[in-house]
Amino acid sequence: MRNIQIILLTAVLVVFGLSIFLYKAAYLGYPLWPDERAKTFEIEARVTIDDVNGPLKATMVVPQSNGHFGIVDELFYSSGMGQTSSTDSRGNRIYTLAAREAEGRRSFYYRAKLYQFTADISQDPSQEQLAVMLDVPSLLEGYPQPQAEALEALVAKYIANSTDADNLVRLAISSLEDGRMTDEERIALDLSPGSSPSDLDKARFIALALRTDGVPAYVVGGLNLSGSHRLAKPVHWVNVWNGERWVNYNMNSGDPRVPDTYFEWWRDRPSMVTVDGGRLRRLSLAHSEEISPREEASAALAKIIQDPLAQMTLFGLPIEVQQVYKVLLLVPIGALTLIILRQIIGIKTFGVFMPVLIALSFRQTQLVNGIILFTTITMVGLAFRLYFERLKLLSVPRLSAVLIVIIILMVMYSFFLEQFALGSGLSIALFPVVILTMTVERMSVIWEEYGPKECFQQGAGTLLVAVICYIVMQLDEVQFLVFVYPELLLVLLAVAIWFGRYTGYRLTELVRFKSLAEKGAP
Amino acid sequence: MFFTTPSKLRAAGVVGINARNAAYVIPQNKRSLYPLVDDKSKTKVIAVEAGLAVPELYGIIEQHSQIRRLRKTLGDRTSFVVKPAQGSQGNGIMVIEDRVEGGWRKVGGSSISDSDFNFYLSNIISGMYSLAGRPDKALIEYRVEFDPVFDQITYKGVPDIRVVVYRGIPVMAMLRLPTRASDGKANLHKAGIGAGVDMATGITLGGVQNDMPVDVHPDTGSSIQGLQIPGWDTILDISTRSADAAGLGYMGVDIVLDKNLGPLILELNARPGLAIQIANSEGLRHRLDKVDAVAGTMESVEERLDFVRRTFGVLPTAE
Repeated sequence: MRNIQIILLTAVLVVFGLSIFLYKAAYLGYPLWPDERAKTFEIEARVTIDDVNGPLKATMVVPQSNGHFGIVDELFYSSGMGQTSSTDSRGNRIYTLAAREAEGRRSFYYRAKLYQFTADISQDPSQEQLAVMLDVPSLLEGYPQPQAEALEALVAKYIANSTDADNLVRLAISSLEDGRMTDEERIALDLSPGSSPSDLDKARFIALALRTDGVPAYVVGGLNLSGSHRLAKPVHWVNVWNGERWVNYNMNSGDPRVPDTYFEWWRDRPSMVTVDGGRLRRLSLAHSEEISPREEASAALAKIIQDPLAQMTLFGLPIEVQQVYKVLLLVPIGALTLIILRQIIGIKTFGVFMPVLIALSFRQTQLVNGIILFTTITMVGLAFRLYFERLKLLSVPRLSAVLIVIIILMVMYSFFLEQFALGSGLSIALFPVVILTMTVERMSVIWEEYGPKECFQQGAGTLLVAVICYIVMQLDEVQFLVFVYPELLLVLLAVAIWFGRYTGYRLTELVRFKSLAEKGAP
Repeated sequence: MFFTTPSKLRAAGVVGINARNAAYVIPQNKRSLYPLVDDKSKTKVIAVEAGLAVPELYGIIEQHSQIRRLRKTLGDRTSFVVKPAQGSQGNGIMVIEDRVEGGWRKVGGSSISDSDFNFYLSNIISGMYSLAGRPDKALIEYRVEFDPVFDQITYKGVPDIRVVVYRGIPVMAMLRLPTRASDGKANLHKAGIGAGVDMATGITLGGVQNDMPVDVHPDTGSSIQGLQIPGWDTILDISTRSADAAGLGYMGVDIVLDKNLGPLILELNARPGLAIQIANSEGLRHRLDKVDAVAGTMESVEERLDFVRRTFGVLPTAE
């Protein structure tokens, strides 16, 4: 019964801990090794408006997290213009700027930081979105009647000559290539002789064809974030909802797939900016590529998809608190190492957690320095302690005396190091004085009760375990894993509980009970 | 090879520390009962209530002020034993043989001055020998006049008998003998000798010192083997009854033989050591398994002891 409980409990803990771990590592893309990097991008749009006289109204589409990109920090600057934000029927997020009395030149700019994820965070379209994506008249708006008719006729021809939506798109892309276009097509697309259709022209035509065929689609305007450009040209492509997932079509006949550097900014609009009451003098788009720690990108992703785990990340804590947890989370690792060394191997130590605490203080003093410090101070402290024994001091004053001696020894040690220029006194002050005092006290009791041999044996055992704990806790990979994946503590907890019912022999017992094994079973 | 394999140990039925704790001590011994055995003054109370013989308690020193009144507590007694009530593994026990000028003579001949003795008492009270340094009491009690039957195999100190009782049934026993190396203490980890005992007859088997088998006492040269422990039936009886009184399912009972008073219970232990297996050249597991098979079926102490004699004897019987 008890064992079933333990199996269940540990199984639940392991499954729970590991599934969060796997979800974070595989889906959110949290790194498994320190120093893994993720791509980040700065994007910027600057708009300058001239000849402003009187009321001015301008709109600009600002990007949203979608596809493999997430927006974290945004900045919108508009000198003294009123600003409202809204969403249009196509799903564009629009900033509207307005000024009642404006003159001359006005400008505003938008800047954002993007993270690129391995996961796709696109959402399935809503019913309203699907309706918009099937709306044919809106795409024909603005065309003169004869051209609209020509377009419709052309679309009907393509639909008749294709088998399905995918085939339709591929057919259109290859047919709209230069040189292969018929006059009919040129007229429909309103192209002057000799000029070739732009990606936007193609995208609009293909979207129209798809919609007419009853396939939801829209025209995308965005940026190719590959490399860094001060004056980037927008790119256009078509997004299609095939009933199960999004399919993207690049307008390039070579490869219809959209490169993963393409970032969607606006949909179904000829331009991202409109101006009313002035002249759009310049719209410049810029983007640059940067590299950041991968866990930052993952934390951003968790936040953007509003994952409940996003609240549970340690990266959201203030830096000082993070520093504390970086150390604190190592303690369970040390404790687990201690379990193995004591329960499985059977090394004797002073106290249960003394070695872990000593190992933690080694982090401050460095290993060699720490070992020297620990050995000298406990040895000299022990000598004083044994001497105080002869002076017949009462226990509390005696403990205090030992404590003071230990502090004096530490001060002298620092002086010594400074004197011989062997490096400064380091962070010795953080070496746990009380722990040292208790160690000395325990040692002296064992010295008197069990003799020097046992005392040194346990002292050496304590130091050995402390050094091993330190080495394990000092591994970059270990520190990194517990900090990025604190849910692994659940797995550690399960292991500790499991060891709590471990009834196997300790390695030292294989030596101790050797004489019994040779007799065999009675 | 200086080590063996886990499978061989398992075949020999050896119980390791992890198995003792996880499979026997923790499931069998209720935590709330620990103070009964960890505090020897409480052990004494339950033993006396159960009508079991213990060394007479002369007095308890709980406060520093009582140290000065020690002589009054002792009256004209000059031979006694001082024990920390919560001491473990025999730590902090001092056996006083006689009064000398300005102090006491310890067993073994060395002396301790009054001031040193008072300091020692105050250390006990401050918790120097208790677990986690809790404040403690010093018990002043009757110094056992040990039965001369073990004179030939004892170097100073008091030999005692350790019986491991599992679920109300004694399963294994050993005779613990002080040596010169153990400074007159009968504790195995201080280099005392442990000799296995045949459960049916109370006759000693071979011995072990520092986990190594020994057949003769290193200080006296006498054989440890084949010695009849007097009052063996009483020893089995009182260990069984003390386990019932304490309510612990897995425990060690330490018994001394007094020349005049016979077997006396010295202390109870909720986490008895495992060296008893080496002393008996036998693992505990097979015996514990046999007890598990019959546990709860036998009510009376006699019935249980019959089972012990029938089941755990290792020497060929005379019949």
